[in-house]
Amino acid sequence: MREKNKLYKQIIENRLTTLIIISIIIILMLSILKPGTFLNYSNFSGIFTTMSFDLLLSCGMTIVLIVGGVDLSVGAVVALASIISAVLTKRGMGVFFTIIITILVGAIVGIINGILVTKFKLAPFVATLGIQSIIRGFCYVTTSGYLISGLSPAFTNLSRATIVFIPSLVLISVILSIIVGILLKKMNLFKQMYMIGTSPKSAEMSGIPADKLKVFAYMLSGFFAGLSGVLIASRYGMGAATYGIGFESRAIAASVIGGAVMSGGEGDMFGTMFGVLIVAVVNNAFIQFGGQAEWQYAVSGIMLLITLYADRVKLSAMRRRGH
Amino acid sequence: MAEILICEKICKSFSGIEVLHDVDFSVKEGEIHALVGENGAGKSTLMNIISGVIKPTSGKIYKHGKEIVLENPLDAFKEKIGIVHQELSIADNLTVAENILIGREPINKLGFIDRKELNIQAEECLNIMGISIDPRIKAGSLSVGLQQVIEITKVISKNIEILILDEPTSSLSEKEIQNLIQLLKRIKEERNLSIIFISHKLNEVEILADRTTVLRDGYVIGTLKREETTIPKVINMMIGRDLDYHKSMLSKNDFGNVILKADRLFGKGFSDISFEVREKEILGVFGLIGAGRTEMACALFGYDKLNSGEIMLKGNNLVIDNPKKAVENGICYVTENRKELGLFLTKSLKYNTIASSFEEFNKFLGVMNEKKADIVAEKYVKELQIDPPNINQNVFEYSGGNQQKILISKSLAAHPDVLIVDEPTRGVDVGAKEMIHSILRELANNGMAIIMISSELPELLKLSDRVMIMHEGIQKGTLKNDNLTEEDVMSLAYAEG
Amino acid sequence: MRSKQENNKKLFLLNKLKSLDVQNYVLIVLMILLIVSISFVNPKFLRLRSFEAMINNYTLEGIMALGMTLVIISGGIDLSIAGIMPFSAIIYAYLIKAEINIYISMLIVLIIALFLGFINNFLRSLLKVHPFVVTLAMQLTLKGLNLVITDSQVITDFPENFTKLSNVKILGLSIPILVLIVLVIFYGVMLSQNRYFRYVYFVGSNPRAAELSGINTRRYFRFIYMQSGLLAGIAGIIACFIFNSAHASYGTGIETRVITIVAAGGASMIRGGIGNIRGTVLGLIFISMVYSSFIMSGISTYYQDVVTGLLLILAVVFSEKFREINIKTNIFKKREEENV
Repeated sequence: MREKNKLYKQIIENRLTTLIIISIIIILMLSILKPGTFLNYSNFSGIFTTMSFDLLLSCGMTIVLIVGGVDLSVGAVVALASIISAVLTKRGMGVFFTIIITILVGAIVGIINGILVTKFKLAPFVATLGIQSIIRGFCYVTTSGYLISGLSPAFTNLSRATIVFIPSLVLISVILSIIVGILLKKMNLFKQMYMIGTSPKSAEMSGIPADKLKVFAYMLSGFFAGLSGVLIASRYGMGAATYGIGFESRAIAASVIGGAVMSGGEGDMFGTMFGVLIVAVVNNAFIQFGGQAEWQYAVSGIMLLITLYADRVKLSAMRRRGH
Repeated sequence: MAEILICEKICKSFSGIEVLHDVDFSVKEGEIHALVGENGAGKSTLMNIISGVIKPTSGKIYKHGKEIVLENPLDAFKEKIGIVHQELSIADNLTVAENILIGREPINKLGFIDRKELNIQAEECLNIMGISIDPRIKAGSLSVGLQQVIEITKVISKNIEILILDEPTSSLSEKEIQNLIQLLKRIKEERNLSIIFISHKLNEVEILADRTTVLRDGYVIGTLKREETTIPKVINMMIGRDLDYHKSMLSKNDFGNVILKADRLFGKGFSDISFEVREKEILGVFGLIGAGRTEMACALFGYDKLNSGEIMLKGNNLVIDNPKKAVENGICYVTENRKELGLFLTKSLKYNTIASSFEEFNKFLGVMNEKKADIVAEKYVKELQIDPPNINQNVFEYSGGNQQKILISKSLAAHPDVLIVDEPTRGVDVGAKEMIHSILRELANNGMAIIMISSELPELLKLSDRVMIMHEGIQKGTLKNDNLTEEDVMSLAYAEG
Repeated sequence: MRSKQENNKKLFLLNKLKSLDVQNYVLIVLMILLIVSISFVNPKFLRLRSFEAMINNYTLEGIMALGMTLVIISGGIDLSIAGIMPFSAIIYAYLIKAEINIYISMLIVLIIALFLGFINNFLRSLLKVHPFVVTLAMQLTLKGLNLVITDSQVITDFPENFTKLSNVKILGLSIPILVLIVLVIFYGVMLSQNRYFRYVYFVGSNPRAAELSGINTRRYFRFIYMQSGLLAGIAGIIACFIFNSAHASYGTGIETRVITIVAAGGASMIRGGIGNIRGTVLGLIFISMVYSSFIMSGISTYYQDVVTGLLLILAVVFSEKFREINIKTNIFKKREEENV
């Protein structure tokens, strides 16, 4: 009896197992309740497409959350990157250089965020909210609200190709997030980021280059947002100022579901991957039952609240047990 | 004079550890009663009990001979007991009048604040205090000293009979302190007010107090009448300790070369500090709270700003503007505030140990060398006898003494030449204290230069080869530890000039 | 004694001048520069009409900035207004289209808005995370709901009695402007005269001390977030008056503009307890002036968001600097010794 209890407890306490079980339950439920519309190729490819963009953003968001920050500008960076890459390809630049330049721009935006947070001591949400506004506005200014379409097949094939039946888009994002997951677990640099998020002052006192690493974290966030933007432009064949609205909260929700905390010092990319899956599937459930794609915003908001609540309950349970 | 407040056999425990033991304490009508003691003696705990902030584990409080029960601070105000905490509770953007009369503002028929009446009432309160500040100006535009006065006015204007002041002078200038002392004396006379005055500045106590109660380690050591109160006597009561604790651990070392030399350091909270420390030497730095020792250490370490002064490390001039640079140059600082500035409570022992030396644990391409980290952590667990010896356990699960050892091992893992330890045994039990002392001695014997900052004289005299004495930001002198006594140090600390 | 009091009086007057802090002065100077330079480009700018038109564009932001001022002084933030405002507009539109009395509809909408503010505070205290997370989640939830219930369509064709009301002008001022003016006066008076409103400074600068002084801070925070929700509800109804339609996209980016207005007005985003309505009104006029100067000079209005973001960051960075100057130039600190 006791053994059983322990096992049960372990399952509950191991976040990854809980997340896997939850995802399986949701998927099973949907398959049983909506076998026709849920279990078909086009629905799944739709889920995986949106998941891919979210997954890339969540890589950056998880890292930023680990250092105790937050990046609300990623959605706008996605739009910016889609426009830049669209414009560059239309001007005849090669696919490779387009990607490099676009991602660089994303990374530079990230660095600016990081400098505002570290050098100018702005609260992360204020700084990144301001940058979000600037970039989104800039996107509207440069496109005057029009879409930039008619991109070269070389560019659009980037995300439409399949490799061994797997869409390249999915492949890129999954491989990258696995790499980030491994790096977070293995690399010295990222270990230091966990320390910064846990106690910024102790980290500084210990001689950890906290400011530099924070800027680096924001840079990575910008980098992944840039990449996500390139792939969106490639997938939909155009750049638009309206891409990426609300993406930041989905990425935050997915990261927090996956084990990151808003106060910093925690986060696990493998958890985040399932967080992204759960957000995407729940989203799809709303679309299946509600019939509207617009549910996605409401879903990410509600999911974020529920996750925060679950963490709160878990934390107070831990306190009660005397930790 | 009748006794207005009597505390009888007050005990208080925090998570099983008793911090006040059967404390008896009384205040007479119209007296200024000073409460002194070192850090952790239980002064603030006792005052928090009297002002209803916390509840005692056992014991009774009587006022005018009647037992009172204080559930919260508002109860205390109802019993006419008011406290002015060390941190001020002034709202900068409200006017002086509003701050004084907060919660009791006169309002007119429309529910608006009746400014005229408010200002008249506030002016009256201020007049009683004998100060003329315009009540209409914003409180934020006043100096800290005047804000302190406003805070006292606010509390007194609630018609209290007992006023508790918790370290009221800690952030005031000399001039402001003099003003405050005059003020307190006057209002005591005029209003027959009883004042409980907590301070670590013994000269103020001597001037001000009608009686002085000394606390040490949660016990009342004694209460002195005004004519009995002399600084040496108070100090003696404050720091007297068990004899076995005083076993000397002085080295017979020949000291090596000068490693660190500080020349005329100036900064916030300290000025004109010069010292040098050699290989194999422990330099003690003595000072009570407010002496500027921690501020000096933080500035030396690059965490705070050093306004001017030179630091020489092994003969080379060095500018340290951030802690990273200090650590890289072989200077490590073991903070007194281990929970906020030292440890990473929700991370494992292992990661806490290597937090100052991450760079040394690279394998290839920046991959973390976990094995090496395990070995290093295990090594310090063994050397410092950290218990439980589980390197993967989170640090918040360890006792205070073991947390302190983990903090020390964090610095040691960075292989410092100079180790600055700040209150290394604060909040640590006796066994661990002894242990930490021998660790420090051992480190010095092996060639490290150690600067040990402490307000506990016995531990300084036990360990340090020389003692530098700081008082209110000024360096009072450095004494060689040849059978140095506590009285020697104290008399230098409180020497005039 | 006498001379001391006179001395006091002089100091008080000086301080009164000083109480307009540096940031306010900087804003005023910038505005004058803006007016002068735009007038060169377009002399029509100096007319009163264009001033009204200028504020007209920012009525909704202005209304919500008043509530946000209180939230920011209390040390918090409310991003959910960008969801509550369009939500209220949509609900109001549906209600009046269902032939429910337009005033009763207003009441219903305002009650809903109050309730949403209540939920914000409830979640904030339950989850114990920074209010920006909670209110961001609320914002998204409501934005999603807005899209779902309207199916992304514009709701229009309001009943005649409403369009009549929306065309009413009193003293030549439209109802939205009047509502804004009334609310500005109400908040200005309350925040300087009403003791309950003024406690926001106490709660914001030192919540624990406020608690110890007998202020029920939990109830107080509830009040603060509920009034912010209420103002977003009012703004939603006003949006129906202005556009004669309701759409889910109305609140896009509005929270940043509102925060920028409040931050430009001198409220501190770094610690609580600092800010006032006068500053917020200056911030509102300044931002709307910048925006309309774009229109006047023929620059794309899409620049609005760019400038908003820039101003937000600049305002927060500089207001700390200005605050230092404020403290340094304080006359009372220098005179205090004579004064006691």
